[in-house]
Amino acid sequence: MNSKLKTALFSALILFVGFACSEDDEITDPEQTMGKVGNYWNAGAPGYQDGRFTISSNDNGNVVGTLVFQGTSYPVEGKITDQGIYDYVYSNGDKSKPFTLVKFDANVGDKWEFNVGNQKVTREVVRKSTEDDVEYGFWLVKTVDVEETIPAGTMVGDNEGEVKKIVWQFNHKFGFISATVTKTDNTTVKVSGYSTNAAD
Amino acid sequence: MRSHNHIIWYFVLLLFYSCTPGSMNKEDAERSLKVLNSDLVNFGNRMSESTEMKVWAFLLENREAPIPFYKNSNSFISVKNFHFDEMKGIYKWNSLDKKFDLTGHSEQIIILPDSTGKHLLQFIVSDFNSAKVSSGEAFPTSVKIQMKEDDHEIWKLDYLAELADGMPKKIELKMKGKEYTMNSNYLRTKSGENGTLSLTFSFNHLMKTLIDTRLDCTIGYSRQSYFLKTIDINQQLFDHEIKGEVDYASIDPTAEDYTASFNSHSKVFLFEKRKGRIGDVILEGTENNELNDFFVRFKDKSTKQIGEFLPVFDKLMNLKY
Repeated sequence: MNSKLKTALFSALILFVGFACSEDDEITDPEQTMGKVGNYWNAGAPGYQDGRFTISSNDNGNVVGTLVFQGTSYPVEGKITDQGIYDYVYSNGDKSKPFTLVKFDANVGDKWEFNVGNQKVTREVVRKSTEDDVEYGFWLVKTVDVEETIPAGTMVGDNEGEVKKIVWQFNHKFGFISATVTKTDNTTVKVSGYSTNAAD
Repeated sequence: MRSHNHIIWYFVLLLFYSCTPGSMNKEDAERSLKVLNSDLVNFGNRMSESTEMKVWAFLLENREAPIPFYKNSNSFISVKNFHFDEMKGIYKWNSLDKKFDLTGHSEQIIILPDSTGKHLLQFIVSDFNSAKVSSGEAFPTSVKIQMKEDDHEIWKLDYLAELADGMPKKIELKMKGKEYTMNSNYLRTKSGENGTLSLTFSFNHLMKTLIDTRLDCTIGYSRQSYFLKTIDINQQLFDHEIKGEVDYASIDPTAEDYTASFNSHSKVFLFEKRKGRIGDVILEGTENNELNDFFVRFKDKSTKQIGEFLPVFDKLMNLKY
């Protein structure tokens, strides 16, 4: 399998599960968020084995989970709140530097930035459903769509990412819905979530 | 007695500071940066014209070349899923079909990249091992490569790495060309959730040290990786020096005024040896403030983008290797 595509799919899954810190006033009780122990999300992309992320612990919102993808397990940690999802992919796991991935009450045009040296990763809300209009499994759901723009040369971990844009779709109840990943060679991969027990 | 010591130290410090060249005026500083750029350009040209770099460039561009590395779409060098034992043999470049033909057996990988030149060039991989790091990607743990021209060694590389916790722990790289040597070391330590990282790089041409870099960092550990807390920079580039400290942990990457956060927690200075301080390196917004870039701040507090004086840096960033 093409390693670039694997990297792109893996990056998307890592990013979608890379939950991180929250604001102090946000609720982190797992009973009131999607971060309950045992919650899982399944996702897949054409031509790839499906991936699954499962939460294995939640300490006051600090989430630790495992992503199983292509037969390999990857540990992932972070935090999830009632109001949004944050990640620290670009801070290499430094929990003191969260980066907003989505706020469920955000509006079109809301923008978050994360700077690394002279490079700036941006996330901007580009669409918000006013009715249930996005397919998710057998349902139609509302989504908040966030466009992430990654400048060339941005390091993710020890490697330069091969992704330049991701359009995320999130739902306040189901969490991750999909990610359309545009790689630096302009090919795209759509990673779609198809089931979760987070809304049970 | 103790007060005498204080007095002696006071005079020692006074003497030291009085002998240290001060800050350059803007005109001299700009001239000095142009000299540095010229040194870098000459260095880059000389390296890229060497036989070994031409061979490397050719092999890296060709994804099917029987070597463990390739140039990815971002112009970085990536490691292939490469099995040394399975690839052993003698390969000859077939310029007609644009491929490498396996022409014989060997206990090494011997590549004949050019059959049309006056000299017989050989690119010989005698050892390659890799292990998976936490991202699942292959990371080289041992590499031995040699280049020969008419059976005379013109270039060699020895590389050894140790991994721990799914990440590189120690790397030693030695490279030797006809007139130069290059050495680089990487050492990561871990103590609980904290640790250190040191990186050294030196390039010597004949008997002269052209580049000598040392970065000492303190780091914190996350589940899969590590993140920087502080960086101590000591770099010699020809007749110039870059020195400073960055308190990375205190910089807020999501701050509304990120450049202010960055500049208040970093102190990086440019010097020309024996001539003094050129200026400080700071981060500022470019004209429309959409992007940030590194600027030199001169003695008179005016600033200019580093790229204006050192366009070679932009080229290096594009090459990325």
